[in-house]
Amino acid sequence: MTDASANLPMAGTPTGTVTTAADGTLSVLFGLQFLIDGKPVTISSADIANAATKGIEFAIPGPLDLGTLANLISWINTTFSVNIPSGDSLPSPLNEVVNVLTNIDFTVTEFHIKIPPKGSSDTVQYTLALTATLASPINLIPGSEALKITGALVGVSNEAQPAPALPA
Amino acid sequence: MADDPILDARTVTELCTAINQTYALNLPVQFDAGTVLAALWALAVTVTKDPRPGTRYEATATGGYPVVPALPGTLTVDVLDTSAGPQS
Repeated sequence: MTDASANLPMAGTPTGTVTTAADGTLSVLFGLQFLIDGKPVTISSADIANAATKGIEFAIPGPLDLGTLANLISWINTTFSVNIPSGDSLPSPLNEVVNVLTNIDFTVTEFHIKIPPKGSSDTVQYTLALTATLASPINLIPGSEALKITGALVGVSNEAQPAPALPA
Repeated sequence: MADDPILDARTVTELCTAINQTYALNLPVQFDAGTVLAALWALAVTVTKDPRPGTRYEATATGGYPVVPALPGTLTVDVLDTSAGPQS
């Protein structure tokens, strides 16, 4: 297990762009702290002054290493009521990928929340994405080095995702 | 009661009002009832003064709020002293 607590922001750690006094001597930062599989992650606001008309968007200021997340899959399944299958139920080599997820370091690469302005019928939108690099790549085709799985991405979102580009 | 309206603030709305009055800022203090923003601004907070170098005040909501369903977040508000340059 990796203890990444040294890399984690403490509650209220100043990050991001904030509302600043005219003389530049003072800023006000709004943040939201969440527990991602037990690890604290703080996202902060970029613009509070125009919240009434534009809403508020909280975002993580940059990639954040969380270390290993032993219960990540079950945490996502429980928290977001989804059903990411266990490694045992997947064919090879996907089962190998899922099975190693509990032993590798995850980094939060995207985490933002958009709270709509007043009068908007939009719901709160969010995206959370965590990525990991495998210590040992897994061959996608047994016996071949041509295609390897080198990492994994796990995430949840309720935002409309852009359609993937099709080959010409 | 402290002799400091920011320390006396008990909600985000009261906190923003006190910060505006103390530092001549224009933080929003009110949102339409029934909105997520109104719910956030109604949260109870505890305020501490000078919690660490470079931070004049830190306010933390006393409970989580489900901005994202099933994923409660804890609201924090920091009043940062930027007169000495960016904080690390």
